[in-house]
Amino acid sequence: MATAALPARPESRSITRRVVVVAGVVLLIFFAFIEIVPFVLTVTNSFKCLPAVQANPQAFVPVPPFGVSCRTDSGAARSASEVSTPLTFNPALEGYNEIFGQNLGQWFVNTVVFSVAVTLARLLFDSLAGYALARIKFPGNRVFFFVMLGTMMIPGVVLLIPRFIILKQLGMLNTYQGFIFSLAADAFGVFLMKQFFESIPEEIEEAAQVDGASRFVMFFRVVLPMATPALTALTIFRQGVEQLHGRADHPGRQPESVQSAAGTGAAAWRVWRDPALAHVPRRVGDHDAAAGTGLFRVPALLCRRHQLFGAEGMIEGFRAGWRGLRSLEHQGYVYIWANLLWILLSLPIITAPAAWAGLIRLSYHTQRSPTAAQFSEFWQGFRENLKRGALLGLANVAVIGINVVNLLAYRDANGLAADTSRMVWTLALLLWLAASFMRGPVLRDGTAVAAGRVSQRRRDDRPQPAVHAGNPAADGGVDRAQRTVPGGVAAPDRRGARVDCQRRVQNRIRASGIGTTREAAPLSDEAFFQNF
Amino acid sequence: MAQLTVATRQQGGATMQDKKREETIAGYLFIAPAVVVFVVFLIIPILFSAYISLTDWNGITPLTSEQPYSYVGLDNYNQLLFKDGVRQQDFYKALKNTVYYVIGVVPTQTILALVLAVIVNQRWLKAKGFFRTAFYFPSITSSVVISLIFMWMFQRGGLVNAAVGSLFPNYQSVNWLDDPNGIVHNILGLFGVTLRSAGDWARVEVAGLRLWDWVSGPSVTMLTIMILNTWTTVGTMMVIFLAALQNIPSHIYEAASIDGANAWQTFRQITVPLLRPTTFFVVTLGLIGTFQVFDQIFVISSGGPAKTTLTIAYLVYNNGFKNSAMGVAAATAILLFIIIFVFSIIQRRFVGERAQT
Repeated sequence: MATAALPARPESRSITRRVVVVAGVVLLIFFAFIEIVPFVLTVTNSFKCLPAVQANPQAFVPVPPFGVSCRTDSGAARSASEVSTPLTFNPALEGYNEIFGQNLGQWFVNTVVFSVAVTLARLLFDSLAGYALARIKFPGNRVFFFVMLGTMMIPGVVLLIPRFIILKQLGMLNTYQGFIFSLAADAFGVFLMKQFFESIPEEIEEAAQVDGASRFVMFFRVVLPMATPALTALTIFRQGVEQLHGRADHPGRQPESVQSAAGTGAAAWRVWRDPALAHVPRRVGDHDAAAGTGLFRVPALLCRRHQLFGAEGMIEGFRAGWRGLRSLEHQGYVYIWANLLWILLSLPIITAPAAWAGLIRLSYHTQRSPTAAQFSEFWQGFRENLKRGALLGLANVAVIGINVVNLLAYRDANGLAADTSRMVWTLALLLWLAASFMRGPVLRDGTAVAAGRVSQRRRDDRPQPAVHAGNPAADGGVDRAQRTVPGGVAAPDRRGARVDCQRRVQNRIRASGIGTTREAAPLSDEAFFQNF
Repeated sequence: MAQLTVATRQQGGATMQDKKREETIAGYLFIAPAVVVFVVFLIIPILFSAYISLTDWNGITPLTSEQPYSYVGLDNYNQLLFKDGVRQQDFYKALKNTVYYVIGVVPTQTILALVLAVIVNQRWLKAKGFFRTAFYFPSITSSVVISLIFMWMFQRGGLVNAAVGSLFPNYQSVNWLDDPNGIVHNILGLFGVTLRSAGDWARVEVAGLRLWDWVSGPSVTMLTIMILNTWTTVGTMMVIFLAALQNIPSHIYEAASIDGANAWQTFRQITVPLLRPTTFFVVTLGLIGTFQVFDQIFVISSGGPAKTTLTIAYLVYNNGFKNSAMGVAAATAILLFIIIFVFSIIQRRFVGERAQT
């Protein structure tokens, strides 16, 4: 496409060009081939018998008979030459049988829980910190950056024991939350996000800033949506987790040296062990790896092969699920944790709408007239939303009360009645928890209501010049964007996108009332809150 | 009118100050969650290790027990750096191996990633998505699994030997995973230079190693691991470069082509300078990653053969968990930290400063 648009070139040049193109493609295909081959081999090797893997790892053509047994009738292992040649092999299911015979379901649950939780936490924390380092100027900015960079330079091996001790002190040993919390932010991610935010043109934020959006509003509404590519990259990278997967497996290879040593060091190793690795074909049969799964006391819902994929069908699956749930419940942990979590969560939920409304008002107000008494502004916003909050809170207190009673009364109880009641209450609790979170958008209505009242009261006594002060720049911004767009038909993509993005921000601002019908109040309070 | 201006200015002044304060608060709030995690799980453990490096704790005695360790001052560092003995020899061997490893891997993977990214970024290329995915594949797999795959491929009867053997009939299969001979030694050997014929300088001992050993180059096994690491990371680096390349406005290229710049000039004068910040990022990551190489060593060679793949990070593990000398291990780790830090600063001088001009 680019070449077509260019003027004609001398003959020799186009030949060189063609040579370069061909060489480039050849290089690319060569490397792509090199990158892919090992994965094909992994897949094929997973279907081989162990001796065949060792003797002919490169054999990649599956030939009948399929599904051979790796052992003879007498129980002896078949030799490699019986089931493979240098290029072909007879697929066997030995490796998969071995894995499904183990606690695969639980490993899977562990992996999913870790990956999802760690990734989500990192997305949020890394992008927050990255943004602050890239854009906000505050004392200690650079120091923090270099300290963070410095932490990447210490080999992780030596941090295992201190981390182990800290986790123990926090009472988070052998728990999901300990693992997740210790990985909730990583220097690499912060570094990546910082680099990314620095590449976003600053004008977009300036436009939002002129409009009076605070840093938080700006970050969540303007900047973060633009960061989708970087966030995607971060999701994929998850280097730290990968590293741990690798490191975690080490004791499995050195059982005698590490595990026999009873002490802090050995325990530290064990904490970081990752059961997910046990599927590595070379180590099939290493039941020691399976022992590592016991570290995480989360009962498997679906742990056996026949329950996962079996011919017993759906009913058996449901039954297994029910049994799993029961066993989960029998441990008592889930129930107690759910109750505690709920109590913890409901405290902020009771006051959240009111406090949030107060904060919004405060942040809005300080940008307009920073000298006013700030606490009173917060308090007013708080009061205006208290009724709604109180209603929700009351409902919460009722549920909490019932649960606390449950927690105390049934903790040691046994028998069918107690079990059933606990099951029912656990489910009710989870449902209520979910429902409360769904009810979250209460905030939006709340702020709108609060904002309406604010504007009613304040519209008259607001000093006009102060409002105008921020405006010319915003109008200029609109003009700039408009000027660029008509000429930007042939403009390159990125600039076009940038202008487009700017224009979207500007449109938002314009839609919220700048320089249109109302003259005295270019940006009304209601419009501000509705648009952000 | 004048009054209004003054009033506005005062207002502006107050807003500025207030804004600054607000910015500061916002800044701290933004980094707070990350700081908590870093402090609890990185800074405190690092300080702890720094302290442990001054003791002779073995890593097994629980710290709650009576007198789990005694304070030895800088003795661990002395043992590693100056005092003749196995520890000093191991440390310098590991240092030598690690430095060869870094020098081999970092430039290779950076340049290769850049070239591949530039090719993938070309407009005429079809099936970009396929290539992007193919190159990124290794990066999303556990390093242990990748190491195992490589072991299969490089073992004596493995894919690599078979492939080369089928191309060159009289090729003698190389024992990739168990060959302690240094590359430079092998090349010198082709010219007839051996330890015996090299002269007296080769036998001079510096820091517990003969000069001849210092110039050995990475061993064949180390080379295998270097290939492995390059292979794994090229994809990641390429994706980072690709993202940066796509951020370069295309009108710059159009202007260059109108001015009559050829492909090489465009690459040299436009692409490379505009990619400096990304290069800095990639090289920093590469340095930090390669200096700490551990997983691959652990799975493939466990430091052998003849300690030619012993790296510093692996030495840390060896001392701390196998030899039960956690104090020495911590000291080694701190030394590694200092080495990486120095290299990063040097690197910053080279790549970072020019990026600003």
